[in-house]
Amino acid sequence: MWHRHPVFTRSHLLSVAVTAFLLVACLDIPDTPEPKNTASHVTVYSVQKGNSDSTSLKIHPENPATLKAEVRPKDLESELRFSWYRDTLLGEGASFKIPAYPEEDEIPNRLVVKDSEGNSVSSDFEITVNSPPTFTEDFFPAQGDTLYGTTHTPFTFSWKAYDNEDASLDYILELDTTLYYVGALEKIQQSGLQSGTHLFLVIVKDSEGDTDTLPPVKFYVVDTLEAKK
Amino acid sequence: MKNFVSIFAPFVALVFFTACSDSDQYLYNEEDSVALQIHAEMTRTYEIESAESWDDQYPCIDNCSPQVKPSRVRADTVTSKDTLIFIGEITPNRQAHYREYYWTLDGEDFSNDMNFRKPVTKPGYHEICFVVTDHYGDTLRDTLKLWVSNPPVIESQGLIPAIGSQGLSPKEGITFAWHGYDPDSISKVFYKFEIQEPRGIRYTDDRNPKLYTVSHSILDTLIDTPYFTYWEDPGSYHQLENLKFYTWSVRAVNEFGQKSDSLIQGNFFTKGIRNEGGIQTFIRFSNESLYDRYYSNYHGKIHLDIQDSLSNLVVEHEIGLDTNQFVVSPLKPGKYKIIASLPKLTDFVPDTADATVLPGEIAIADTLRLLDTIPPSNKYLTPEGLLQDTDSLDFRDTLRFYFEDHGGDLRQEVLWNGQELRGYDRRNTLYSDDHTSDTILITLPKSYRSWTYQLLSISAYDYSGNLNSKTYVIRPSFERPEPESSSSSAKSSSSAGGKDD
Repeated sequence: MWHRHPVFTRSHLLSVAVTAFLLVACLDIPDTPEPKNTASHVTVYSVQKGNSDSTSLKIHPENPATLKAEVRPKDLESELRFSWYRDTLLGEGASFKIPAYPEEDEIPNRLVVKDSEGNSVSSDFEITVNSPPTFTEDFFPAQGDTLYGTTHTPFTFSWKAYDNEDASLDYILELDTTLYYVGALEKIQQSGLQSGTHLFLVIVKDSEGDTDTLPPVKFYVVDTLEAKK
Repeated sequence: MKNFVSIFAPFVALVFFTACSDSDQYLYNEEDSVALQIHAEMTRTYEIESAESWDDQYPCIDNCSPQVKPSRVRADTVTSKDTLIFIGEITPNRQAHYREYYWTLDGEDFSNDMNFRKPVTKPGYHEICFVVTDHYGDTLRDTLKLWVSNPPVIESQGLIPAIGSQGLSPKEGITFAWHGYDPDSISKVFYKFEIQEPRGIRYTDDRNPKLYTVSHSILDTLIDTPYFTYWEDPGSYHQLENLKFYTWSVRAVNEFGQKSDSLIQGNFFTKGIRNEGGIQTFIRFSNESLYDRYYSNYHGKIHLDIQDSLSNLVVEHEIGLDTNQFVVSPLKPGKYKIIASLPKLTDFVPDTADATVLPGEIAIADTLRLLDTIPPSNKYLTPEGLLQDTDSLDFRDTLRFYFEDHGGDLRQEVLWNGQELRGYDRRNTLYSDDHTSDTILITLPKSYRSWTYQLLSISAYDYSGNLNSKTYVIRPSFERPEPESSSSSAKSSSSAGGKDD
């Protein structure tokens, strides 16, 4: 008597299963994206006297400053915890206040942002504390001075600025709307001034880009050649 | 059915599996086992073009300097305006050995061509990578390094000291400042700073003649700041003197050796002692080629008399013809008159200028213009050595003409019946010692003899371009020959006459 064999034996099923497995392995179906509820990015910027600086993170020591954190997406800010560190935890909150004339260990250099599920994102940064340069009262000619000479006479112009951090400063002299890039020079001689009223001012810039301006100085030139005529 | 399934199910599975895999790519083929090598290079457009033309036109044959070849490089510094050619090579270059190739610029797609021409405009450092995927899927890379930098900029405005500044004292320090910078902000900028004392002027004798100043260098230095202060250094061999005129110049160069397109130039006068001053003036001639030093020995020097307001001679000065400006110092403050003349070139009319010297300043007088408007003279020189102011001459094998001028060297053009007469014998040995006169000998070939009147035109130019053009009429050197017909009739008449005899 003949036994009736089934159409699909166990070995057939195995072949089909292996084939199906291989086919599935060939498929490249991406995983379903999971919705994210954590901050993907955080940036720190400084605010001092109403001016914000997000590039060089520079503050002047003479005034208190505030560091602020900005997260993306923004609507998550209220659900996140902000921790400001410099080796140790210095404070918490979306902003951090730096006092005037701060010590180095009072200025954070790391911000860690965490959500309620323990996900975190951090930002390392360095705050530059820089005093802007300041002009002294020592400049020439003084306000209202009269200089005597001809258009060929080189008149002396001098000024002085100091800076806590920079030994060498960069000056720009503006003499009757003409700019002279004089580098670190604090004294020059220039001719070509006609008889009459003139203005000069000087702008100083330190290596951090902080500036000060010597207020415009009005002076007079009397042409001695014309006077003799 | 059972057999069909049992036989074909594994094949179906195999077909699906094979379709999913890319196994034919990994089948071993002996031909594909060759190791693939790639190489990337770049060159500038003009270098290839120039080199090709040079190779074709000027092949190096023997003992000659090597020809400039297209300089293919793997690292270079270019400007953002330069066009570059990138060249990729795959060895062996059979497409069976590689699947694809492409170029990247700083990791971004750059080109899919093997060779291509493209500029890289963004200043800074770049890596250009030639990427080839071989038959096995392995990736080969060859990377070129490129700096893109534009030359530094130096502004001609805002110079310190202003041009023509007076009374600058090396003892007190003379400050120089200018505005120079790197437009890309990627390179440090250096400045070649020079102070020079103008010594004379020269006249180039090339196809585009022009004047240029010859200067004596006082200071030549390379600094990294756009300002400089000159201090008196008694130990230095070259130093600034009192009441002198100096020029200064700056050219910028960056770390890649690229120079600024422009050169800034200024000038100034130094301070005198107490109230002393001086006078500066410029001298111009009718023809500025008189500045040429090669003629100055023949023509003497410029003589300057400086008189005070009472016409007393205060200073007598001589300067070479190769000088177009001079400073006379020290002078006491007051009014002066400067008289310039050329004693050896009397055709040039002396010129005068007034100047008022102020305490501590150098007065800049008006330019003195020495002009020659007198043309040369032209006379016939007889065989006996007599000068004749004639315009009709007999034909001679040699004709002599005498020219006189007191304004520099002479130049003549000779025309025979309107045609330029070449090869006439000009005897420069007859040039007078002071170069004020010149005699030329014109040798006429016998074939120029004619029974007609002929014209000999001579144009003589002096150094200032003044022209004396004279045309001599050369008388017939023999009688007009009789026409052949008339001569034969004469012969016949003569013979007829003979018959008569």
